[in-house]
Amino acid sequence: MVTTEGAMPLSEERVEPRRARRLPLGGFVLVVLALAVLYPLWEIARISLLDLEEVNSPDAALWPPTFRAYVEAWTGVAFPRYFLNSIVVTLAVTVGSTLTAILAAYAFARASFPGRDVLFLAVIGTLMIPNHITLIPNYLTFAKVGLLDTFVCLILPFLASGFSIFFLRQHMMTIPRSLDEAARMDGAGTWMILWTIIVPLSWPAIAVVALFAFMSQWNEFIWPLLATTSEDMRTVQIGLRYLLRDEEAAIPDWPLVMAGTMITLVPLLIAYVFAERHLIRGITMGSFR
Amino acid sequence: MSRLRPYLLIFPACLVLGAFIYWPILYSIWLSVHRWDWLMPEPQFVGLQNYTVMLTSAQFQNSLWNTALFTLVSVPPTLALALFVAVLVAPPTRSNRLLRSVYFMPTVMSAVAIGVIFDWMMNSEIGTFNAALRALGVSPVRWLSDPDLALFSLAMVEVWKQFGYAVVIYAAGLQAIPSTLYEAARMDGAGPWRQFWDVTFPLIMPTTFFLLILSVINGFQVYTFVEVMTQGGPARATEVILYYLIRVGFEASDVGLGSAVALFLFALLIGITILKAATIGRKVHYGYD
Repeated sequence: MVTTEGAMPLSEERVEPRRARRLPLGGFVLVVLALAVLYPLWEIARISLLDLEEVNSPDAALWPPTFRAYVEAWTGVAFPRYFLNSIVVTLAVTVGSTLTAILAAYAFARASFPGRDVLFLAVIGTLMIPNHITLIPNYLTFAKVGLLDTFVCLILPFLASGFSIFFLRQHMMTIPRSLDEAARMDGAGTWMILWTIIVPLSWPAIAVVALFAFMSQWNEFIWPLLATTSEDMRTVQIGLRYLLRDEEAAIPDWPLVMAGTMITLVPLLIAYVFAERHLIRGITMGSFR
Repeated sequence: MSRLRPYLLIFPACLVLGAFIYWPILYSIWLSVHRWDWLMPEPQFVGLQNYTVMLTSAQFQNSLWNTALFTLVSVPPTLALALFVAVLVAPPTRSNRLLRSVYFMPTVMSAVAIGVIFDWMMNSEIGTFNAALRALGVSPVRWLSDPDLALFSLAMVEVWKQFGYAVVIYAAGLQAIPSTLYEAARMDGAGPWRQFWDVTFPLIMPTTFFLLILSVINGFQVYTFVEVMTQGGPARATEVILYYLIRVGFEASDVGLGSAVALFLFALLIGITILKAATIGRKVHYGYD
């Protein structure tokens, strides 16, 4: 059953009596769906704490938990290295793409110069261009200069983002120009205005684009899969994929795979818990552009 | 700002976007009319041969069909489920906010991690799904190794990952429907069902259309679940177009054919995007101002 009361923009005090009228079936469905979303996460945690032999028995006792898989993942050579690679790449891309976006957004929001509109259109245009078209050419480009399988090729293509530029520019346009002019009267130059007025007033928007960059880079899969050949350069996502399908082992070491999955998910889930509201705001705004 | 300053500000971003997004498009076009693999020192011009090879290739047609089928069976359930849920969770109560953040969680998780956990749950021998079937007295199925079923299993995972995003977008769209319309409908004696079909459903159409286009674009670029869970198998039953592209362009090193496939998919997706851009500007009128 569907109730349409839900569709209305209700103020908090009008909500309370309505909530009691929600049909029990609807509430039941919502809870079942929430469990369907959470159950796989519980499975990751559960399997990661089992012994290797316990995996095959459906009623394996979780208590006492075994931390063998986590110890193995962390003391092995491979996974700490993947984690470090992911941290390096993700931080470099988050900082770098946010910085290039601040500079570009400032120019697009505040300056008028020949070719501005065409260039801005080209920047927004990148949002429509599917990523797959770049795979073969970028691979060949990096192969030609001998930079495949290095941090450079994992980081460089992501150092600018059309979304970040667009999002920051939209925000900067809402900052009153009178603030710039007041500062200019006091003798501040373009550079000074950017760092003392525009950037401090744009923190919420900057946080959103940095968060987006962090999350999408941490999860990036196809490019690092293609661009890395040595184990030493793998990111956690690639490491996890090879942990699941190791050419040598016939059956995956499930507790180890799940411990790896857990380690891969934790930075994201932490970011999600702290920044969920910003994230959802950014997503709804980004989608209605 | 001085005359050159704006160009300096946008230079880093434009350089990266130009070199790693726009240049690859041109490079792809050039590559697609050449024959080139790692063994050949010089690319050889072959005209449209790569395109004719692609269009007559049974494997390409198979991958195109698989992609379309995957999209067809994953998108409508995602949207229907999301609209149903969004109507129920739209009122901004505390429990609804919590439910929404739970539903949204898979959206931020990496596709590799999701692929890993469902690979476990869909395992024929020890997976959760078959354990549940056995408990119900139903004979277990081979979720990922049955050629008739594997693509549908992947589509199910796609629904699990994507529906929370659609819920958030729908909830935002529902907030924009004026509550006076529901009051008027109630005054005319419309029950919850009538209100949904006569008010909510038509007025949420623009959001539905937006989500439909976006989901189709996403569906046509599915790759990670296939790479992690089935590697295109069994018997190429889950080989989607992007998987085919990477198998041809990277594993078989047929760069020309790979680029032709990339451009085919590019043209298809850009066409859909333009369709979206052409319709999204239309304002929706609620019959009053």
